[in-house]
Amino acid sequence: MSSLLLLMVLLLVAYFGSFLVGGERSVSGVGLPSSVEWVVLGVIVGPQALGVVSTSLVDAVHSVVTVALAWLMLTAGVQYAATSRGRVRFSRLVGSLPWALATAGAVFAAVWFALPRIAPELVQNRLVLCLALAAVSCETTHHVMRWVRERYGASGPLLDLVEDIAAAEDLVPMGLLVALFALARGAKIVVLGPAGVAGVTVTLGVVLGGICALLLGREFRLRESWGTVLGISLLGIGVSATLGLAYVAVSFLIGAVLVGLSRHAGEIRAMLQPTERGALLPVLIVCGVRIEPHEVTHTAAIFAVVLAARIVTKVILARLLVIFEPDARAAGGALGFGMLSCGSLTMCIGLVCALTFRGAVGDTVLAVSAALCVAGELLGPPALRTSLRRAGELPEPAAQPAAAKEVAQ
Amino acid sequence: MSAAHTRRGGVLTRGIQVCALVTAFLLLWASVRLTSTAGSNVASVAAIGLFLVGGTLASELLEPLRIPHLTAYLAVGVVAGPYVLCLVRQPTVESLLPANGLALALIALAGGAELRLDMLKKSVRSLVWATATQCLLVLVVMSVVFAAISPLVPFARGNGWSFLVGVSLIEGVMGITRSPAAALGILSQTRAQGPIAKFTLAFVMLSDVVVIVLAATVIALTKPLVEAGGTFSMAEIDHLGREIIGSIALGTTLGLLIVAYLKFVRKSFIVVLVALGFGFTDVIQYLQFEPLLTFLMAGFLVQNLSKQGDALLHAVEDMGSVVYVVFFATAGADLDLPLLRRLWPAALLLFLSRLVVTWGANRASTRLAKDPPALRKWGWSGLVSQAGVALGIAATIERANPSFGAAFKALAVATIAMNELAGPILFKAALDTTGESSSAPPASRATSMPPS
Repeated sequence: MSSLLLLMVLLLVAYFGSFLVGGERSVSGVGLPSSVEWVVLGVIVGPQALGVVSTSLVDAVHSVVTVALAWLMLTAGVQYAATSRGRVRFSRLVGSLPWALATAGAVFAAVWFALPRIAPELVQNRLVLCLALAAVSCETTHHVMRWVRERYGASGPLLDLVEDIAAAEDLVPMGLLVALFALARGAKIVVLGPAGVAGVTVTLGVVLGGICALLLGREFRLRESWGTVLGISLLGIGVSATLGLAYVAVSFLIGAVLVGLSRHAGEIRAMLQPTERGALLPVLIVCGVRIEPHEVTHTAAIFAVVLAARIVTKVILARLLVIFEPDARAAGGALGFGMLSCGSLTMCIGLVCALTFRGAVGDTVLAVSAALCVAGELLGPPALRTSLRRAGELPEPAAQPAAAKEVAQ
Repeated sequence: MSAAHTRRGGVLTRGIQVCALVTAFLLLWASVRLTSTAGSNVASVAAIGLFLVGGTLASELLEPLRIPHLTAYLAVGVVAGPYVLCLVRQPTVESLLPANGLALALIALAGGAELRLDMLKKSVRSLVWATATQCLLVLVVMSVVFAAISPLVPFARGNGWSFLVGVSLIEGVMGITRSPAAALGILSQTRAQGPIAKFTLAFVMLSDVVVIVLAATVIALTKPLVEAGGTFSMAEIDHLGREIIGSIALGTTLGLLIVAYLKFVRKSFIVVLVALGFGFTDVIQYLQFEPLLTFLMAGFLVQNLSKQGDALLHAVEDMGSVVYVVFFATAGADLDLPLLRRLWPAALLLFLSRLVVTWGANRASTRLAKDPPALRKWGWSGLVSQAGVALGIAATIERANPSFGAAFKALAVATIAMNELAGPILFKAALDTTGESSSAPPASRATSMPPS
């Protein structure tokens, strides 16, 4: 298969993706909340199974994948802390960040201490590996809340609460990526030191997002806005990737600052959200193709450590939530497991790591990302439904179709 | 493109735009100074970003001076390109050229879709006379001019009369090439609706077919004159016939596919357009057909044999704000300024001669066709620009004539650069002067359709 043919196939997938993912059909009926089935498809057509698409072929379209990844993060930034009910309250946003921070910290610590025993050959890249694994394992995808809301007709304060937490968490993995790229000493401005590199990364995203918001001005004109948003984004992606900075974090910040400062936040979201569908599926397939576990047993052991740390942290945090948050009182112990779902953001960060830190570290991070998504898919949605049912926010199974129909109407 | 609804920004808006423009250039300057990733994939991404931001902002900032957007895009490309600030280096420019294939495909598709059969029927008399005079007169006069200035052209000196006749005819063919992209770009910006706009659009699109035929014929016929041991071969003509018929057939197929899609699905049409643009460009290259003619035919078919023409135009226009900027800024970056500096006397003479003869041919054709006064006075203005088609023909000439092709192409590129810079300014000035650029209300062509 040639790179052009691969591009055409990915475009075809993007095309069908625009019908399936994120639109009216996906969450309410077709597909899994994490979209992990597309990663599996990538594994099947990739070198690990059928071998239709090789890793080198994916590398031939590296720039397209880079832009797609950054674009997805731009759309994630634009939708940061926003749900179908509107913006997440600031107090709740601040209160939600510890969820991801605690999970990231726990995963970091667990892998840091376990690594010499379970994968000693990776110890020399310990910091990079631990930070990357912390970044991929700290989020909860908010699609699972949308999914349970739209497919099962769930609604209520507990669902709103966990959706707000999931929507606010995305900032933490982005921050970890900034730190990861700064500490990995791959940046061309390494002379500034890690803090300087991180500062430049954040400043770049904020300045470009601010400029974009200013340029869009008072009037919102769709056609002109496309040139501005696309141009600023590509400039940010190109410059940050050239300098070896965390380009996806720059994109995320451009998106977040853009909607934060612009008076056309709603229109910008409406403009960019449909493009997410087109970019996501090809990226997920590429993720699947790129999965090449470094050492299967070592990767499995690392995954087990990461998953255990993630479960323990989420369960403890959920317990605290049940104790201190009135809306969560009736949720019970399953809520922690309900927050285990992860999806596109995890896979995108995994792919960024695989493309940036080539070799054992990148391969391990991507493989663990995919495994986390599968595990999250198996554990998360059923547990979340159980919690919501206990809280009285999800009808009993017999009543679900009718309730879902009502929500759809 | 926003000229039709220009931002009447105040000082603050202009200040923000200047700051943003300077920031964009500074960012790329910093990244280029700190790295050496010329031609790398991410450098291309950054270059496209700079072209988009810089081109859009420069066009808005230069708007009060009535400078066409295309010229602003070209200027940004020239300034950022390898010969001025060197923010976008030559390998990066070359890596962007394939993406221009997609841009050219979309431009040709839009060009074909703008050609309405009823409009062509109304102006058939004008078009026939214009094609005859603009092609023959310009070809003959430019050949004579080249022969006259040949002492200034190193490769044309001291090669005998037969060589001079052959090379002069080839230069004559270069003179009759025009730029559909520039014409469409200016019309998209000004949203002009009037005799000059309609005539230019129809003429430039149709003359491309004539140019392709004439270029191939002249290259084949002059081969024995300009190449030692070169012989005339009917194979060239045979190939030309296959190229034209094949392009029309493929264009018809593509047009039918687009019609079927727009009729039965329509959703996510921009993704389909991009896929078709990339896919068919590759197929056309493989089959050695003519991409411009193929996409022109497809657009023409969609417009005139179905009810989907406006939908196609809307979709292409939605992408216009991106496509034109990248296409012309890349062309600007690709302008070989040192070459222009070296060959400017001969190139300037050729440019001025072409300008004069195009004006003269227009006077003659409009008089013969009894065209309205505005067309008599300004009909030539849209025919000055040269860009992709001319460069393509220059490259073909280079390949066909290894002994002098490279030197010929260098002179052609220098002349094209002048036409490329001056043409859009002249065309927009004409549309502004005759009032055509403001005759259509902004909303008449605008669409609120999202691009996906």
